[in-house]
Amino acid sequence: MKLKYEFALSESIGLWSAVAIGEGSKHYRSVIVMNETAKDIFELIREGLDEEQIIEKMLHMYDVEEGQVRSEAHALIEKLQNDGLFA
Amino acid sequence: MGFLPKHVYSGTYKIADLRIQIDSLYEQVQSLCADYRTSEPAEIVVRTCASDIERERRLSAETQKAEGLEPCNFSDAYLETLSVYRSIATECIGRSRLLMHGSCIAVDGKAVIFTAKSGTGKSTHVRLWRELFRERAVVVNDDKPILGVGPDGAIAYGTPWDGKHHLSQNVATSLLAVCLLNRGAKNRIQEITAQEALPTLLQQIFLPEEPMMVLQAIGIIGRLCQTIRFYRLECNMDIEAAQVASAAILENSNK
Repeated sequence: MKLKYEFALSESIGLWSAVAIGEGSKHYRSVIVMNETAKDIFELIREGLDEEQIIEKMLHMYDVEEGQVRSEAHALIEKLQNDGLFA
Repeated sequence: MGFLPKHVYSGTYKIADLRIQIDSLYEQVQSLCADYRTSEPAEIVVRTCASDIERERRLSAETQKAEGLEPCNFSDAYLETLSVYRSIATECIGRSRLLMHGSCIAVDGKAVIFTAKSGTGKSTHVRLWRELFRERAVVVNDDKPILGVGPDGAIAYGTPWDGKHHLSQNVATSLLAVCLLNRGAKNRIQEITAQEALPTLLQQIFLPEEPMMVLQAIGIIGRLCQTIRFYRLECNMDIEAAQVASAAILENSNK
């Protein structure tokens, strides 16, 4: 999986916001709001990992429930797909 | 040689505690801002040109299409007023201020903003507060107030861009709360966290095109969240809606 655009992230009130920058800012104006876990998943998507690789890496990196990671990864990937953000 | 637009009209106004010189092609925006005129020197200059008006025409058509409405034939003078406010809202972000789409009312000098999609009933609900509180209530701005964050907390500013009923006052009031409004058969209100409110807030504040400024605006929301409370209100159009909402919001502010 590869994102079409570059994104900038910032944290506020415990939530992360991602906005498209550069050429992408002309095509995608929405703000993606994420909790801490979703933001880590987003970072792995930016690295080009697929869904199963992301889940494996998240389980390796953090002490989290597999079911929760699967659900959050799937929800975020689905949102990005629906917004047409994959190349 | 390029064509230089003629700025026939010019005036300086104090809006949201910012001294703004507006140079315009049409008179309408100057009369709109007349109650805010100042003799102090300007710190910001907003100057429109024909392409700004065309851009506003395009954006208005896109918005109306998205809302399922027929395109309106807005005058250039009216579109210029929108363009000027867009420029002011952009300047605000670097000065710890935000434009929010919502109806803002103050009771005894403490303001509450009701925000929701157009047509939900923000102005109707604020009218109920006016009926309930009468001379104790002031409509700060019925459509697009500016919010600021200062050392003493959050502030709601009246502005001339005040919606179809033209309800606003040139005031700056302490902001208590932002209330996300939904229509409902019954009246009920609950306090929600800033995190729960954020996705809706992002749809109701003015976000500029420049992505880094968008993040800057989100940072301002973060600072606002430290000083105000958030509520979700489901309400009908009975006076009880204002009684239920004000009881929760105003009593909570005294805790």
